[in-house]
Amino acid sequence: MRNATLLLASALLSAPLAAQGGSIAVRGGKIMKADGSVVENGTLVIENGRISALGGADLEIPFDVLLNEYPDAVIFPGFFEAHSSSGMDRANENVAVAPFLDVKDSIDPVSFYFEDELRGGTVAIGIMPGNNTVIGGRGRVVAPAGMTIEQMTLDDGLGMKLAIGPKRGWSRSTQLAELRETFAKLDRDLEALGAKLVEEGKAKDDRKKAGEEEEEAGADGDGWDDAGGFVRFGDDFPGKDLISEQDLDDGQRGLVAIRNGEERLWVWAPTASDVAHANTWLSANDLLGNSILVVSAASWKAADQLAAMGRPVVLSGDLWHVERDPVSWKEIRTFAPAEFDQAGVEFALGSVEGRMGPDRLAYQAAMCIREGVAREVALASVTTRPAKFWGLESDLGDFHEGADGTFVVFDGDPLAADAHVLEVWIRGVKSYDRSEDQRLKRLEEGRLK
Amino acid sequence: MKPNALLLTAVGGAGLLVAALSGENHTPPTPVVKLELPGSGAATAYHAARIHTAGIKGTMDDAYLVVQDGKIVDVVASADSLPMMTPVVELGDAEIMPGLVAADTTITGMSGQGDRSMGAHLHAADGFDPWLDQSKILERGITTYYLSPDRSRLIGGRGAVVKAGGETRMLDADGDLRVNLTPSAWNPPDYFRPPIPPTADNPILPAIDQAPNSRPGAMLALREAYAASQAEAGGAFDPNADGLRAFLGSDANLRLMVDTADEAASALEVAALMGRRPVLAGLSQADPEHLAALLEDQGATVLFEVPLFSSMPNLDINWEFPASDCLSTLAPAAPIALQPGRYGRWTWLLEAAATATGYGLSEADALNGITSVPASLLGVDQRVGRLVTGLDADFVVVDGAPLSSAASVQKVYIEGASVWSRSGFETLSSDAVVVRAGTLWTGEGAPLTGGVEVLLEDGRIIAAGRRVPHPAGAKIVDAGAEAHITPGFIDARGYLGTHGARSLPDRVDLTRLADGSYFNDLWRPIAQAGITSMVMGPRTLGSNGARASVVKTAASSEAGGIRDRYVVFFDARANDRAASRKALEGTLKKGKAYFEKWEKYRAERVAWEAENGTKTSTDRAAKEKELRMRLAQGSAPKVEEEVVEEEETEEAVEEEEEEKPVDPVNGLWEGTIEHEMLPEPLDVYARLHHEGKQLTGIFGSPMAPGEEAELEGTFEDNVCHFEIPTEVGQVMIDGIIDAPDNMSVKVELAGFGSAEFTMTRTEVEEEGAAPIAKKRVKKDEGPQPPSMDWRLEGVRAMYEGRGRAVVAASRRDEIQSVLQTFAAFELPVQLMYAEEALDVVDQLRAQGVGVIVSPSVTQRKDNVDHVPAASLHAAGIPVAFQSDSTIGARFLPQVLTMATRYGLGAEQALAGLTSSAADMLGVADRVGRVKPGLDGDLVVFQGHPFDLRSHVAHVFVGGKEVPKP
Repeated sequence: MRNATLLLASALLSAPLAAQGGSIAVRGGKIMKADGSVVENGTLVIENGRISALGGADLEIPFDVLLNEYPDAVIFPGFFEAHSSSGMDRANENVAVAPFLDVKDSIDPVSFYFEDELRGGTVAIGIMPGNNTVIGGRGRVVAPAGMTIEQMTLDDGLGMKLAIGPKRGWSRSTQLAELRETFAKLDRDLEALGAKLVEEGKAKDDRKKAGEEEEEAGADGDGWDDAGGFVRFGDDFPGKDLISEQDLDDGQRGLVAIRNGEERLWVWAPTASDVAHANTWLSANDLLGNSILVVSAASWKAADQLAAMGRPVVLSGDLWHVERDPVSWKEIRTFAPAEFDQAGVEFALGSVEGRMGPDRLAYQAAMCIREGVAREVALASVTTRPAKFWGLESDLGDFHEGADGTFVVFDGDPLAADAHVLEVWIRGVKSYDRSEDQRLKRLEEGRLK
Repeated sequence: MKPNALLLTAVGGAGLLVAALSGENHTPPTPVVKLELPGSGAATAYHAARIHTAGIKGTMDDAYLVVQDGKIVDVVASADSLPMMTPVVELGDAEIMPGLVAADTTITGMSGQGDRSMGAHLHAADGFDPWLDQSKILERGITTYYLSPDRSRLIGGRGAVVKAGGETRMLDADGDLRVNLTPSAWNPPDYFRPPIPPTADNPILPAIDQAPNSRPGAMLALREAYAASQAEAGGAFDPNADGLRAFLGSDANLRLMVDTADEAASALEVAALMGRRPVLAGLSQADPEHLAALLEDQGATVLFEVPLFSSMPNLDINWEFPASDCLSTLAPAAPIALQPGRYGRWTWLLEAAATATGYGLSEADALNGITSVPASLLGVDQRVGRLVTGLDADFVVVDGAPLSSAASVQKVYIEGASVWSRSGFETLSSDAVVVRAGTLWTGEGAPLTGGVEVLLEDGRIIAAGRRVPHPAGAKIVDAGAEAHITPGFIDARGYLGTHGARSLPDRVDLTRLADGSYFNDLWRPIAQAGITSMVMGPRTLGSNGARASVVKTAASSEAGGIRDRYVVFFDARANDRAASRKALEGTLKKGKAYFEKWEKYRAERVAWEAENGTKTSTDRAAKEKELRMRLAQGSAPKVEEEVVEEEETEEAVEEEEEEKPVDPVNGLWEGTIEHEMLPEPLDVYARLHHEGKQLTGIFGSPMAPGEEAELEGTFEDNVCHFEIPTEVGQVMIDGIIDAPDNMSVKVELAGFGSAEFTMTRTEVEEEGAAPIAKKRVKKDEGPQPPSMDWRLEGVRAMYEGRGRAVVAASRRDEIQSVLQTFAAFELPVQLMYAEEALDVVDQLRAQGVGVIVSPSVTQRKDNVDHVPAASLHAAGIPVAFQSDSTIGARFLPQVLTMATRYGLGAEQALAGLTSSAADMLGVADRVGRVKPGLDGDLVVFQGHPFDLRSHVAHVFVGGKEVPKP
């Protein structure tokens, strides 16, 4: 019941971007795919927001599709930010356990952040609640274009944020104790609820036996499913299969979804020791298969363990880990992506908002190449891998038939420092044009010619 | 005993029998039992001077620790007990003790780690970081340590025990429960978790005000928590109660933080309530007798906080040091573990143990207090804490008694594997060297015997004595108990660097000639012989004075010797004594005049600077005042206008000048020479003037004021050419004026290389100015230094106290004449040769004059061998020795050793080579003694320094060891 309503609502709301998905054919000097392979004088045809064909200069273009030609440009799928907490009015609530939150309520479509991401050639961002939390709430994948959340949204089921690294001011033991406590309390509450439902059922049966008429409770219109069997994890207890979505509060619903394995978990593990603790906790709760590790450069020391866990990893923040040798006090700099790559970890890169250079995914990927990571890997970490982590590899991340008609026009190699984003098209609709970028123009007025 | 006794009877008679029967000395040797190895892996034995087992075997001297498969097999007293083919690691004089066990640490944070006042469900193990670098922990000998939950909450949670290395780091993830009964746990934050969403059934309630705010409050909260944990399951959700229930169901210890005896009494109540033997942690403020009475028969363990301070703590006014007998009072009542107090670092376990002996704990108990007792307190005593059979082979090698403040941890082993070694530090950061030997001759008086150390760092002697500090990374040179350390020897006169030159140019800085002597094959044998300093000058002495410098025989490039300090040699040996005396007096007189000129300049300069400084500041103040006044009055400041006007006039003048034909050369030229041979760019100037082809110039550098050279050269076709003959060869200077006021200059030193640079004319000489004669003194630069007179620099140094006069004199009358002359000029003097000095002993003593004796130290007179130096010494005259040779200095020690066989005392010989020589030559603040602050010049003999069997084992010059031959 609820699903149908949602579907209708989302279909209506997301109409502007998806339904109106444009049709356009582009021919570029070079069409560069996410793996770096290039089609010289390639042609890309987008119909109704989806890629219908990719080929050479002789590719036939349907009669009703306009052709844009960029003879000197490079057409690229764009960059994909796997995990970010930017673009929201606040990254975290101060409630530690908040599975009922959704970034939907916090994303600000007119935030300069999105505008600036377009300028840098980013076409999709996985927005997740911040890391200063225990269970942070749900995230979604958005395009940095659109006037409403619905317009922006590419996928609303990105998953749930869960932090193993401690909330500010907390110790790791407090953090983990809070996590354990949350689920222990859930178990207790569910058992109590099951017992209560069993009792109620008995009473109902008794009334039925006594021949009392009972009016059928119709749908109450809140969209929650009232069928039992919502709890599908853990040991059986009396009344377990009677519990429905309807019977739980917002917080419990989220926690049950996590334990049911229905939520993708974005697990914040900033240091190597957090990776170890995350592994222990996720494995113990049989959730490792649903998780993506969000780490910082300091986690490179656990690269081998991450590889053994076999889960996707998002490296958020600075790519360099800097520490001092405890004896000589000399600075030691480690380039984390190279360590991850060597260990065989499948990682995606994040950008660092507010820092000139690292605020661009192109810069981050280029830095990887400079430090010895293969170009294909560096490119994948900002294109196909994020799409894959989101479960959207058939729609996003690269050019192939049926994928979203999203591309970025560069005036050079997308990873080159002197390349500019000329245009960004999302689902066949032009979303950014450098020649009409008023703020950039004003900035460049004073530039030395 | 009987077979032995019988045998003795047979051989030696009844007396011996009695002795054998009554004495205990003749027990038959017990048959040697070879250790049996329990495992199959390779065994290793560690042989140390002493092994502290912290177990039933106590402390064993000269014993072996046998390790196999990461476990301890046993500690045995004799090598005979070792299993066959067991490799032995010889640790020399070092001592072995169990790896230290830290019963409390701050690794997992201090306090305020969450908002729960009672968190029995919290686990410190969650904060365990297996990647944390352990070197700062291992450096202190710690191999096992505790991870603490929050220490400022009533119930902090469960601790954990981990090792600093080894296969399995986590020894116990569910460790003791930490309860804090001190006021530091009072007033926790409110606890608030709003219901989501709040409903009528589940409304938002005010935040919970958590206990405790007082000790009764704490006790009440603990009792309630205990009751909650004992209640039937299914009540309100209470993670603390669940945690407490888990704790009560385990065999973990209960750790109660208490400071005072009152708190301890409460702690015992809590322990009784929970049915646990308490561990009382803290107690530094408890009254020992009260506490001892409380702890009687309680089965408690004490974890005593030894007050150690890393910085000045902000202590309560009632804070007191523990009584000096507090631990001896407590010891019978409870086992005592030790930890540094909360104002020190938790890694200072050895220091805490050493300090604890000051509170009445025996050394053995103090060592147990940081090993076996904390291990049992943490519940890991079946794994670590003692060196007994079956436990983990975690041990520490200390280079001395573990509690001695001079000893330091050298090596750390965990489970039989070396995990840390101080030698790994040596290549890092420090150039410190600790030289260890049996005997130390400081340069004067009797030697210090029985084990000594000298610490060298940054080229200096930092400490010397029985025990010195061992900075981290210090290299330890242990020469053995037989070795002797002496100061570096001083040769009071030699000519190695000058190659025996009869005379040297006056300006030469002699110390430069010894630059890099460390790398020089000619110098090296001398340094290797122990001669670390040499007075080096020309061979010929003159009545005008031959300036010499004290140089180092193994100097790296920077410090060839003692700069700006001179020894000036005069010769008073002459047939015409009057003439010689007159010449000497003349030199001293001239020198005095020269010295006074400098003194005058200095005084004037100081006065000028003071005056000029004041003037400038008064001027500025006046201008500022005026400006402010004008600004206050609203009128525009006039100052700027004035400046502009001035500039205009200047420009006008310049323009006028430019109209006249300008000479291309005459004027002041300035430039900068940059060359790889120069340590830094050299600014130079030249004032040039030509008349036709004749060119005169004055060259100088603002970096060396007062040193100017006047040269003559030629000027032709816009090319200036100078040729300067120097000691090292012809210097050619060619300057081509390639543009107005711009000259490309090439300086070529024949055979050595050349430098090119440009000079620009900064000042055009006024037309018709007289040819250059005097150097230009700018008006506003104040008094300028007098020109250098290098011949008199040595004498000036004497007057300024930077130089010492040494006069060669032989006969009594010569000596007397010298003494009188120098007395008249009020200058100190030393004598050289002075064969008849014994005749004027009183006078020498009165004037404090010493003698550099002839190189023939042992002489034969009237067929009797004697050592004049010994006689002089006996008469109270200081003596120094000279090699009077280029490379012969290396034999000086041997010559003196021979002299000791003819009556020279070893101490006198040594003083003559070290402290007396340094005193006489005016360099006692740099060399001659083993004393903190002096240069790091040492000689280490492997035996007595004046024994022909001894040889030099190590030589240090400037803290750096001279390579061995």
